[in-house]
Amino acid sequence: MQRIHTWLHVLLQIFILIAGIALLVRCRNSDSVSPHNHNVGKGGSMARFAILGNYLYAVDRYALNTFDISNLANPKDINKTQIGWEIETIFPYNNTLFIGSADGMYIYSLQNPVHPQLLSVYRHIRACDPVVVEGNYAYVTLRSGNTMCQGITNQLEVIDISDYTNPKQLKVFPMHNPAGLGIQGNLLFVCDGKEGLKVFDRSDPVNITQVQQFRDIDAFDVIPLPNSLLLIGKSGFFQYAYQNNSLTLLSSLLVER
Amino acid sequence: MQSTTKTWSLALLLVVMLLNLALFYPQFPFFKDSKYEPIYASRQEIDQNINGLKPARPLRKTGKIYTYNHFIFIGEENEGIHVIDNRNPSQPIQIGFIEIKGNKDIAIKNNMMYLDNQQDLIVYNLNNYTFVQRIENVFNSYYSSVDFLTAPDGIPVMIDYSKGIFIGWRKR
Repeated sequence: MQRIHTWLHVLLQIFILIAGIALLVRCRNSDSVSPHNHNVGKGGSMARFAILGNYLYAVDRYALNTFDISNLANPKDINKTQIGWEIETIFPYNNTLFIGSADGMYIYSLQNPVHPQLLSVYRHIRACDPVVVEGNYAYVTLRSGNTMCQGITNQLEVIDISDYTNPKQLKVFPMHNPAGLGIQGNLLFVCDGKEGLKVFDRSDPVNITQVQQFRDIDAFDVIPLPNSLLLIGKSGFFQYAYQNNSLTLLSSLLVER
Repeated sequence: MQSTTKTWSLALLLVVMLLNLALFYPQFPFFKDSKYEPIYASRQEIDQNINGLKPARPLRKTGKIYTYNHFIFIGEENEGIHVIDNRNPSQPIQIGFIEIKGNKDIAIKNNMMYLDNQQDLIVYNLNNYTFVQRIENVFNSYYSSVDFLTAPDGIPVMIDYSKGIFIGWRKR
Protein backbone atom coordinates (compact mmCIF):
# COMPACT_ATOMS: atom_id res chain seq x y z
CA MET A 1 0.00 0.00 0.00
CA GLN A 2 2.82 2.37 0.92
CA ARG A 3 4.35 1.90 -2.53
CA ILE A 4 1.14 3.04 -4.16
CA HIS A 5 1.25 6.10 -1.91
CA THR A 6 4.80 6.78 -2.97
CA TRP A 7 3.89 6.66 -6.64
CA LEU A 8 0.79 8.76 -6.04
CA HIS A 9 3.05 11.26 -4.38
CA VAL A 10 5.40 11.32 -7.35
CA LEU A 11 2.50 11.75 -9.79
CA LEU A 12 1.08 14.52 -7.64
CA GLN A 13 4.43 16.31 -7.56
CA ILE A 14 4.79 16.08 -11.36
CA PHE A 15 1.25 17.36 -11.83
CA ILE A 16 1.86 20.26 -9.45
CA LEU A 17 5.10 21.15 -11.20
CA ILE A 18 3.34 21.28 -14.57
CA ALA A 19 0.38 23.19 -13.15
CA GLY A 20 2.81 25.56 -11.45
CA ILE A 21 4.64 26.34 -14.66
CA ALA A 22 1.37 26.81 -16.51
CA LEU A 23 -0.06 29.17 -13.90
CA LEU A 24 3.02 31.33 -13.28
CA VAL A 25 3.57 34.97 -14.26
CA ARG A 26 0.70 37.40 -13.87
CA CYS A 27 0.95 41.04 -12.91
CA ARG A 28 -0.89 44.30 -13.07
CA ASN A 29 -0.08 47.57 -11.35
CA SER A 30 -2.15 48.84 -8.45
CA ASP A 31 -1.64 50.25 -4.96
CA SER A 32 1.57 49.16 -3.27
CA VAL A 33 1.93 47.70 0.20
CA SER A 34 2.20 50.19 3.05
CA PRO A 35 5.57 50.01 4.80
CA HIS A 36 3.97 50.99 8.10
CA ASN A 37 3.34 47.94 10.21
CA HIS A 38 3.05 49.49 13.66
CA ASN A 39 0.69 46.91 15.09
CA VAL A 40 2.08 43.90 13.34
CA GLY A 41 4.15 41.21 15.03
CA LYS A 42 7.35 39.61 13.83
CA GLY A 43 8.33 36.01 13.21
CA GLY A 44 11.64 34.27 12.78
CA SER A 45 13.33 33.15 9.58
CA MET A 46 11.51 29.80 9.72
CA ALA A 47 8.10 31.50 9.51
CA ARG A 48 5.61 30.68 6.76
CA PHE A 49 3.33 33.65 7.54
CA ALA A 50 4.04 37.36 7.00
CA ILE A 51 1.77 40.40 7.27
CA LEU A 52 2.46 43.47 5.13
CA GLY A 53 -0.06 46.29 5.28
CA ASN A 54 -3.52 44.89 4.57
CA TYR A 55 -2.26 41.54 3.34
CA LEU A 56 -1.36 38.26 4.96
CA TYR A 57 1.04 36.18 2.89
CA ALA A 58 1.18 32.49 3.74
CA VAL A 59 3.18 29.83 1.97
CA ASP A 60 1.98 26.25 1.92
CA ARG A 61 4.07 23.43 0.47
CA TYR A 62 3.42 24.48 -3.12
CA ALA A 63 2.10 28.03 -3.28
CA LEU A 64 2.06 31.57 -1.96
CA ASN A 65 -1.41 32.47 -0.67
CA THR A 66 -2.54 36.09 -0.39
CA PHE A 67 -5.28 37.04 2.07
CA ASP A 68 -6.82 40.51 2.17
CA ILE A 69 -7.10 41.41 5.88
CA SER A 70 -8.39 44.99 5.55
CA ASN A 71 -11.31 43.60 7.54
CA LEU A 72 -9.24 41.96 10.27
CA ALA A 73 -11.90 39.53 11.47
CA ASN A 74 -12.84 38.43 8.00
CA PRO A 75 -9.83 37.68 5.78
CA LYS A 76 -10.47 37.03 2.10
CA ASP A 77 -8.47 34.41 0.24
CA ILE A 78 -7.81 36.48 -2.89
CA ASN A 79 -4.86 34.90 -4.67
CA LYS A 80 -2.81 31.76 -4.95
CA THR A 81 0.53 31.94 -6.75
CA GLN A 82 2.07 28.60 -7.65
CA ILE A 83 5.75 28.46 -6.73
CA GLY A 84 7.10 24.94 -6.83
CA TRP A 85 7.32 22.20 -4.24
CA GLU A 86 8.45 21.93 -0.63
CA ILE A 87 8.19 25.65 0.02
CA GLU A 88 9.59 26.26 3.49
CA THR A 89 9.85 29.87 4.58
CA ILE A 90 8.88 33.46 3.80
CA PHE A 91 10.96 36.57 4.61
CA PRO A 92 9.50 40.01 3.84
CA TYR A 93 11.98 42.81 3.10
CA ASN A 94 11.81 46.05 1.13
CA ASN A 95 8.37 45.36 -0.38
CA THR A 96 9.68 42.02 -1.57
CA LEU A 97 9.17 38.43 -0.45
CA PHE A 98 12.16 36.11 -0.22
CA ILE A 99 10.86 32.57 -0.21
CA GLY A 100 12.92 29.56 0.79
CA SER A 101 12.17 26.19 -0.77
CA ALA A 102 13.83 22.81 -1.11
CA ASP A 103 15.44 23.72 -4.43
CA GLY A 104 16.14 27.43 -4.19
CA MET A 105 15.26 30.95 -3.11
CA TYR A 106 12.41 32.68 -4.93
CA ILE A 107 12.23 36.49 -5.04
CA TYR A 108 8.73 37.99 -5.47
CA SER A 109 7.97 41.67 -5.95
CA LEU A 110 4.97 43.07 -4.05
CA GLN A 111 4.60 46.13 -6.25
CA ASN A 112 1.17 44.69 -6.85
CA PRO A 113 0.36 43.28 -3.39
CA VAL A 114 -2.47 41.12 -4.67
CA HIS A 115 -0.47 39.38 -7.36
CA PRO A 116 3.14 38.87 -6.23
CA GLN A 117 5.38 38.82 -9.29
CA LEU A 118 8.33 36.45 -9.64
CA LEU A 119 11.56 38.41 -10.14
CA SER A 120 14.07 35.58 -10.03
CA VAL A 121 14.97 32.18 -8.65
CA TYR A 122 18.30 31.41 -7.02
CA ARG A 123 18.76 27.66 -7.45
CA HIS A 124 20.73 25.54 -5.04
CA ILE A 125 21.28 21.92 -4.22
CA ARG A 126 18.30 20.10 -2.70
CA ALA A 127 18.07 21.01 1.00
CA CYS A 128 15.92 22.87 3.53
CA ASP A 129 16.62 26.59 3.36
CA PRO A 130 15.47 29.64 5.29
CA VAL A 131 16.70 33.05 4.13
CA VAL A 132 17.31 36.51 5.64
CA VAL A 133 18.15 39.73 3.83
CA GLU A 134 19.94 42.97 4.66
CA GLY A 135 20.77 45.60 2.05
CA ASN A 136 22.41 44.01 -0.97
CA TYR A 137 22.98 40.65 0.67
CA ALA A 138 20.93 37.54 1.33
CA TYR A 139 22.05 34.79 3.70
CA VAL A 140 20.68 31.31 3.15
CA THR A 141 21.29 28.21 5.24
CA LEU A 142 21.05 24.77 3.69
CA ARG A 143 20.56 21.78 5.94
CA SER A 144 20.07 18.09 5.59
CA GLY A 145 17.18 16.59 7.46
CA ASN A 146 14.67 13.90 8.02
CA THR A 147 11.90 15.65 6.10
CA MET A 148 10.58 15.88 2.57
CA CYS A 149 13.19 18.49 1.68
CA GLN A 150 15.99 16.25 2.90
CA GLY A 151 19.37 16.79 1.33
CA ILE A 152 22.97 16.07 2.24
CA THR A 153 24.29 19.63 2.34
CA ASN A 154 24.94 21.78 5.43
CA GLN A 155 26.18 25.25 4.70
CA LEU A 156 25.63 29.00 4.82
CA GLU A 157 25.58 30.87 1.51
CA VAL A 158 26.10 34.60 0.99
CA ILE A 159 24.24 35.89 -2.07
CA ASP A 160 24.57 39.19 -3.89
CA ILE A 161 21.03 40.55 -4.41
CA SER A 162 21.92 44.11 -5.48
CA ASP A 163 19.88 43.17 -8.55
CA TYR A 164 16.73 41.33 -7.40
CA THR A 165 16.33 39.88 -10.87
CA ASN A 166 19.80 38.37 -10.88
CA PRO A 167 20.99 36.92 -7.53
CA LYS A 168 24.58 35.65 -7.48
CA GLN A 169 26.41 33.39 -5.06
CA LEU A 170 29.35 35.13 -3.39
CA LYS A 171 30.56 32.76 -0.73
CA VAL A 172 29.85 29.45 0.98
CA PHE A 173 30.61 28.54 4.61
CA PRO A 174 30.34 24.93 5.83
CA MET A 175 27.98 24.38 8.79
CA HIS A 176 26.86 21.51 11.02
CA ASN A 177 23.06 21.44 10.56
CA PRO A 178 21.90 25.06 10.27
CA ALA A 179 18.24 26.15 10.49
CA GLY A 180 17.06 29.69 11.33
CA LEU A 181 19.17 32.81 11.09
CA GLY A 182 18.90 36.54 11.74
CA ILE A 183 20.68 39.88 11.38
CA GLN A 184 21.04 42.78 13.80
CA GLY A 185 23.38 45.56 12.73
CA ASN A 186 26.76 44.05 12.09
CA LEU A 187 25.89 40.74 13.69
CA LEU A 188 24.67 37.63 11.90
CA PHE A 189 23.17 34.82 13.99
CA VAL A 190 23.02 31.26 12.76
CA CYS A 191 21.17 28.48 14.61
CA ASP A 192 23.42 25.54 13.85
CA GLY A 193 21.50 22.65 15.42
CA LYS A 194 23.48 20.72 18.02
CA GLU A 195 26.44 23.09 17.64
CA GLY A 196 24.23 25.79 19.10
CA LEU A 197 24.06 29.48 18.27
CA LYS A 198 26.89 30.96 16.21
CA VAL A 199 27.46 34.71 16.14
CA PHE A 200 29.26 36.22 13.15
CA ASP A 201 30.65 39.70 12.59
CA ARG A 202 29.41 40.90 9.23
CA SER A 203 31.02 44.36 9.07
CA ASP A 204 32.32 42.89 5.83
CA PRO A 205 29.02 41.34 4.65
CA VAL A 206 30.75 38.72 2.49
CA ASN A 207 33.76 37.66 4.53
CA ILE A 208 31.97 37.07 7.80
CA THR A 209 33.95 35.91 10.84
CA GLN A 210 32.66 33.93 13.81
CA VAL A 211 33.01 35.90 17.07
CA GLN A 212 31.02 33.77 19.49
CA GLN A 213 29.33 30.41 19.92
CA PHE A 214 26.77 29.22 22.47
CA ARG A 215 26.96 25.44 22.66
CA ASP A 216 24.67 23.18 24.71
CA ILE A 217 21.55 24.62 23.08
CA ASP A 218 20.02 22.83 20.12
CA ALA A 219 19.21 26.09 18.33
CA PHE A 220 16.33 26.27 15.82
CA ASP A 221 15.42 29.90 15.12
CA VAL A 222 16.02 33.50 16.22
CA ILE A 223 14.19 36.83 16.17
CA PRO A 224 16.51 39.84 16.48
CA LEU A 225 14.66 42.64 18.32
CA PRO A 226 16.18 46.11 18.68
CA ASN A 227 17.19 45.46 22.31
CA SER A 228 17.43 41.70 22.58
CA LEU A 229 17.78 38.51 20.61
CA LEU A 230 15.11 35.82 21.02
CA LEU A 231 16.18 32.24 20.44
CA ILE A 232 14.19 29.01 20.36
CA GLY A 233 15.72 25.56 20.42
CA LYS A 234 15.06 22.03 21.60
CA SER A 235 16.36 22.92 25.07
CA GLY A 236 14.15 25.96 25.48
CA PHE A 237 13.71 29.70 24.96
CA PHE A 238 16.70 32.01 25.45
CA GLN A 239 17.08 35.77 25.39
CA TYR A 240 20.32 37.66 24.87
CA ALA A 241 21.40 41.29 25.14
CA TYR A 242 23.67 42.84 22.52
CA GLN A 243 26.87 44.10 24.07
CA ASN A 244 29.60 45.63 21.95
CA ASN A 245 30.13 43.00 19.30
CA SER A 246 28.78 40.03 21.21
CA LEU A 247 25.85 38.59 23.17
CA THR A 248 25.22 38.05 26.87
CA LEU A 249 22.46 35.78 28.20
CA LEU A 250 19.57 37.68 29.81
CA SER A 251 17.10 34.91 30.60
CA SER A 252 15.83 31.50 29.64
CA LEU A 253 12.79 29.26 29.90
CA LEU A 254 13.99 25.68 29.84
CA VAL A 255 12.17 22.71 28.40
CA GLU A 256 10.86 20.27 31.00
CA ARG A 257 11.70 16.66 30.11
CA MET B 1 12.01 -8.40 -32.27
CA GLN B 2 10.26 -5.06 -32.16
CA SER B 3 8.36 -5.92 -29.00
CA THR B 4 11.62 -6.96 -27.28
CA THR B 5 13.10 -3.53 -28.05
CA LYS B 6 9.93 -1.96 -26.69
CA THR B 7 10.16 -3.97 -23.47
CA TRP B 8 13.79 -3.03 -23.01
CA SER B 9 13.13 0.67 -23.61
CA LEU B 10 10.34 0.55 -21.07
CA ALA B 11 12.61 -1.15 -18.56
CA LEU B 12 15.31 1.44 -19.23
CA LEU B 13 12.78 4.24 -18.77
CA LEU B 14 11.73 2.72 -15.45
CA VAL B 15 15.35 2.51 -14.26
CA VAL B 16 15.96 6.13 -15.25
CA MET B 17 12.83 7.21 -13.37
CA LEU B 18 13.88 5.30 -10.25
CA LEU B 19 17.38 6.78 -10.41
CA ASN B 20 15.82 10.21 -10.78
CA LEU B 21 13.75 9.65 -7.66
CA ALA B 22 16.70 8.33 -5.73
CA LEU B 23 18.59 11.51 -6.60
CA PHE B 24 15.69 13.73 -5.61
CA TYR B 25 15.21 11.91 -2.32
CA PRO B 26 18.65 10.74 -1.19
CA GLN B 27 17.25 8.60 1.60
CA PHE B 28 13.97 7.69 -0.05
CA PRO B 29 12.77 4.45 1.53
CA PHE B 30 11.07 2.82 -1.42
CA PHE B 31 9.94 -0.42 0.07
CA LYS B 32 9.20 0.39 3.69
CA ASP B 33 5.96 0.94 5.57
CA SER B 34 6.03 3.54 8.32
CA LYS B 35 5.55 2.38 11.90
CA TYR B 36 3.43 5.50 12.42
CA GLU B 37 -0.06 6.50 11.42
CA PRO B 38 -1.63 9.97 11.42
CA ILE B 39 -3.94 11.17 14.21
CA TYR B 40 -6.85 13.37 13.14
CA ALA B 41 -9.02 15.74 15.17
CA SER B 42 -12.39 17.23 14.27
CA ARG B 43 -12.55 20.92 13.43
CA GLN B 44 -15.35 21.44 15.93
CA GLU B 45 -13.28 20.00 18.79
CA ILE B 46 -10.27 22.19 17.95
CA ASP B 47 -12.39 25.34 17.61
CA GLN B 48 -14.03 24.80 21.01
CA ASN B 49 -10.76 24.13 22.84
CA ILE B 50 -9.03 27.20 21.41
CA ASN B 51 -11.38 29.49 23.41
CA GLY B 52 -9.98 31.04 26.57
CA LEU B 53 -6.43 31.39 27.86
CA LYS B 54 -5.51 28.13 29.60
CA PRO B 55 -3.08 27.99 32.57
CA ALA B 56 0.60 28.18 31.70
CA ARG B 57 2.32 24.83 31.26
CA PRO B 58 5.95 23.76 30.90
CA LEU B 59 7.72 23.91 27.54
CA ARG B 60 8.22 20.41 26.13
CA LYS B 61 8.56 20.18 22.35
CA THR B 62 9.18 23.70 21.14
CA GLY B 63 8.17 24.93 17.70
CA LYS B 64 8.44 28.42 16.22
CA ILE B 65 8.56 31.80 17.97
CA TYR B 66 6.67 35.02 17.23
CA THR B 67 6.76 38.40 18.92
CA TYR B 68 4.04 41.04 19.18
CA ASN B 69 4.41 44.19 21.27
CA HIS B 70 5.77 42.93 24.61
CA PHE B 71 4.41 39.41 24.08
CA ILE B 72 6.27 36.35 22.89
CA PHE B 73 4.44 33.32 21.51
CA ILE B 74 6.18 29.95 21.55
CA GLY B 75 4.72 27.03 19.65
CA GLU B 76 4.31 23.69 21.43
CA GLU B 77 4.39 20.96 18.81
CA ASN B 78 0.90 19.53 18.12
CA GLU B 79 -0.50 21.10 21.31
CA GLY B 80 -0.73 24.88 21.13
CA ILE B 81 0.99 28.15 21.92
CA HIS B 82 2.70 29.40 25.10
CA VAL B 83 1.97 33.07 25.80
CA ILE B 84 4.80 34.99 27.47
CA ASP B 85 4.91 38.49 28.91
CA ASN B 86 8.31 39.90 28.00
CA ARG B 87 8.06 43.38 29.50
CA ASN B 88 11.18 42.55 31.46
CA PRO B 89 13.47 40.59 29.07
CA SER B 90 15.59 39.52 32.07
CA GLN B 91 12.54 37.82 33.54
CA PRO B 92 9.95 36.70 30.97
CA ILE B 93 6.74 35.42 32.57
CA GLN B 94 4.58 32.62 31.16
CA ILE B 95 1.05 33.97 31.42
CA GLY B 96 -0.91 31.17 29.77
CA PHE B 97 -1.45 28.72 26.97
CA ILE B 98 -3.64 28.74 23.86
CA GLU B 99 -4.73 25.20 23.13
CA ILE B 100 -4.71 24.64 19.39
CA LYS B 101 -3.84 21.24 17.98
CA GLY B 102 -2.24 21.03 14.54
CA ASN B 103 -0.86 24.58 14.45
CA LYS B 104 2.64 25.62 13.38
CA ASP B 105 2.58 29.26 12.25
CA ILE B 106 0.97 32.48 13.45
CA ALA B 107 0.89 36.16 12.49
CA ILE B 108 -0.73 39.06 14.37
CA LYS B 109 -2.08 42.46 13.42
CA ASN B 110 -4.00 44.77 15.80
CA ASN B 111 -4.65 41.94 18.29
CA MET B 112 -6.08 39.68 15.59
CA MET B 113 -4.15 36.43 15.29
CA TYR B 114 -4.04 34.29 12.15
CA LEU B 115 -3.12 30.64 12.62
CA ASP B 116 -2.57 27.81 10.24
CA ASN B 117 -4.39 24.62 11.16
CA GLN B 118 -2.97 22.22 8.59
CA GLN B 119 -5.16 22.87 5.53
CA ASP B 120 -7.23 25.63 7.21
CA LEU B 121 -6.69 29.22 8.33
CA ILE B 122 -8.07 30.23 11.75
CA VAL B 123 -8.80 33.78 12.90
CA TYR B 124 -8.48 34.35 16.66
CA ASN B 125 -9.14 37.43 18.75
CA LEU B 126 -6.39 38.13 21.31
CA ASN B 127 -8.46 40.81 23.07
CA ASN B 128 -10.64 38.14 24.69
CA TYR B 129 -8.94 34.92 23.54
CA THR B 130 -11.84 33.75 21.43
CA PHE B 131 -12.24 31.89 18.17
CA VAL B 132 -13.49 34.14 15.38
CA GLN B 133 -13.65 31.96 12.30
CA ARG B 134 -12.10 29.16 10.28
CA ILE B 135 -11.49 29.26 6.54
CA GLU B 136 -11.35 25.68 5.30
CA ASN B 137 -9.07 24.05 2.74
CA VAL B 138 -6.96 27.02 1.71
CA PHE B 139 -3.57 25.31 2.11
CA ASN B 140 -2.19 22.23 0.34
CA SER B 141 -5.53 20.42 0.14
CA TYR B 142 -6.50 22.91 -2.54
CA TYR B 143 -4.76 20.66 -5.05
CA SER B 144 -5.74 17.22 -3.89
CA SER B 145 -7.73 15.53 -1.14
CA VAL B 146 -4.59 13.74 0.04
CA ASP B 147 -1.00 14.69 0.71
CA PHE B 148 2.14 13.09 2.07
CA LEU B 149 3.98 14.00 5.25
CA THR B 150 7.15 12.48 6.63
CA ALA B 151 6.47 10.34 9.71
CA PRO B 152 8.93 10.44 12.66
CA ASP B 153 10.73 7.42 11.17
CA GLY B 154 11.41 9.32 7.93
CA ILE B 155 8.87 7.52 5.78
CA PRO B 156 6.24 9.47 3.82
CA VAL B 157 2.70 8.66 4.93
CA MET B 158 -0.53 9.66 3.24
CA ILE B 159 -2.64 12.33 4.96
CA ASP B 160 -6.32 12.25 4.07
CA TYR B 161 -7.76 15.76 4.37
CA SER B 162 -11.32 14.44 4.40
CA LYS B 163 -10.66 12.79 7.80
CA GLY B 164 -10.25 16.13 9.60
CA ILE B 165 -7.20 18.00 10.86
CA PHE B 166 -3.92 16.11 11.13
CA ILE B 167 -2.56 16.72 14.65
CA GLY B 168 0.29 14.24 15.07
CA TRP B 169 1.49 10.64 14.87
CA ARG B 170 0.78 7.46 16.78
CA LYS B 171 2.53 4.09 16.57
CA ARG B 172 0.58 1.52 14.59
